[in-house]
Amino acid sequence: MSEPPRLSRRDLLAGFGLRRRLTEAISSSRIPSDAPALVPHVRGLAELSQALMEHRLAPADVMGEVASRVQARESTAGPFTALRDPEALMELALDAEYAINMGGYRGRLHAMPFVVADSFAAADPLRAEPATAGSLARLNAAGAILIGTTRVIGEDVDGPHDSRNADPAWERGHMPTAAAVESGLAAAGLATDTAGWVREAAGLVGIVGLKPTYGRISRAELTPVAWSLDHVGILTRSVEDAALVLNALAGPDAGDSTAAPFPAPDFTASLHRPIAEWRIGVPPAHLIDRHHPDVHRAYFGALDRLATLGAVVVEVPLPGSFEPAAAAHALIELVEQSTALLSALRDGAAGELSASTRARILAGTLVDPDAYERAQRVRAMAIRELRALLVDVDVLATPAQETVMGGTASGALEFRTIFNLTGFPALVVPVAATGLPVGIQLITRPFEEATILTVGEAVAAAR
Amino acid sequence: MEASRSDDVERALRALIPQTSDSEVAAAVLIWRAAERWRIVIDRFTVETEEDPAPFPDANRLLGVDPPAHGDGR
Repeated sequence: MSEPPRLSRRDLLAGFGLRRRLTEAISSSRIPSDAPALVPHVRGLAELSQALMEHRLAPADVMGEVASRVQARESTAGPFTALRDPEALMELALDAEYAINMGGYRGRLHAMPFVVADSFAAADPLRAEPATAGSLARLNAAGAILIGTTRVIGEDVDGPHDSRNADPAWERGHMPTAAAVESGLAAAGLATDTAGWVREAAGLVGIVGLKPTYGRISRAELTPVAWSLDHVGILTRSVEDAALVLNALAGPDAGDSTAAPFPAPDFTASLHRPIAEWRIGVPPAHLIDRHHPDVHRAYFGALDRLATLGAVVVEVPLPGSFEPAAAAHALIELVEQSTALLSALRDGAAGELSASTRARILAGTLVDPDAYERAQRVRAMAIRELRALLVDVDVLATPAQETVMGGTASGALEFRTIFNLTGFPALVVPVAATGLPVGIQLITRPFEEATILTVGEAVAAAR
Repeated sequence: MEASRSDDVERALRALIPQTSDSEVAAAVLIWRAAERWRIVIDRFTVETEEDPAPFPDANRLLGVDPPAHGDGR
């Protein structure tokens, strides 16, 4: 007696009616007709994954929409440096759909479309074989689908410190990754936050940007810029989305000795706590005077909303180390980048580095080692002072940006790089009720990201 | 004085990487000048401090904390 014919995975998929949707989505390059409203453009990761769990939406629906959006965007100027082709994306979606239908649901990130910045380029994120360590491996294990890699716009040759108010903020850093998330090309994105770029882009574009505590997320497979300042940053459309991504990425990792060795909590569990009586520390008001008027208005409006929710908003003096912190950050970044990449320059790999990076490598070799050591003293003092400040208040709140897209704010203080220097967690949440996007930055004690996620969720909900 | 130091810097850079182009050397000198300004700011602040340098890159030592027992922050 002959054996019955074995059904291939393709045959099974056809049985679920997926082949039809694959053909439709690719051939027509448009939204599948049976899912007109369920698109990432209007719904974030949390809502999309909820719809997936409840079988109101299938991975192929999501990916068909993403593929058609990406194709439309790439016909003009897109944020991508590399993209999976639509057919490959649909294959991955079908794989996910099959796995989910067979009981292999991997959690809230399963089948969710992601982008990663070229900060991960050395690890070749789109390669066929999965990553074995770091964020890329975590994303893969969670079932997320990388749709492509996004551009990182380089620094001005004057370096991050002096160019801070010279370069238009919207022409640097991780704006392409933030734009991909904001415009619904992906549910979330990862990028390096070494000098506040993830949070700045989030503020300017009007999405959520999270730089967790130094060590909270493994940096394996991340191309190093400055080893003591680099963090993996998360860009999403909502605070809950950021918590879901952090859940998947946080925790110890054998591939990164700087990853903190203790497990992370469920960051979504405490999102909706009341914040009555919580103490929110803010810098003296005159330090915000030079910020763009839209930033000023939105920031103080958000503080009013926090007060309405029962939080106690109190002015706190900035630590004395705040003044030299930006200089210490810039000097440490220069020296560490130079140290990490000098051998590449010497070995003749200069062609793979940008002109500004090559210049920074050279300049970093000239810095007196004593100056680097003194910059570390500034860092130690900043950590000590911030810890003391965060005994009296639960959260610090600052503007996320100095200006808005297209605006200027000469001489305005930036409040981001000190938290790269100190490693404290910082979250940016959009708060502008009208007009161009503006974010508020919330900072708290190390490894207590749940606190800023709770306050961020509260201020976002009250918007 | 500044020009002469810049000449020294240029010579040092060319000795380090002989194939360095003129434009790269010029850019590196600009960045080095910025770094000198950062150093001055740092020196002004640290001249009287006895603060130990921050240990790194171990996250626990850098931050000097144990994980929160309850794990959910505040």
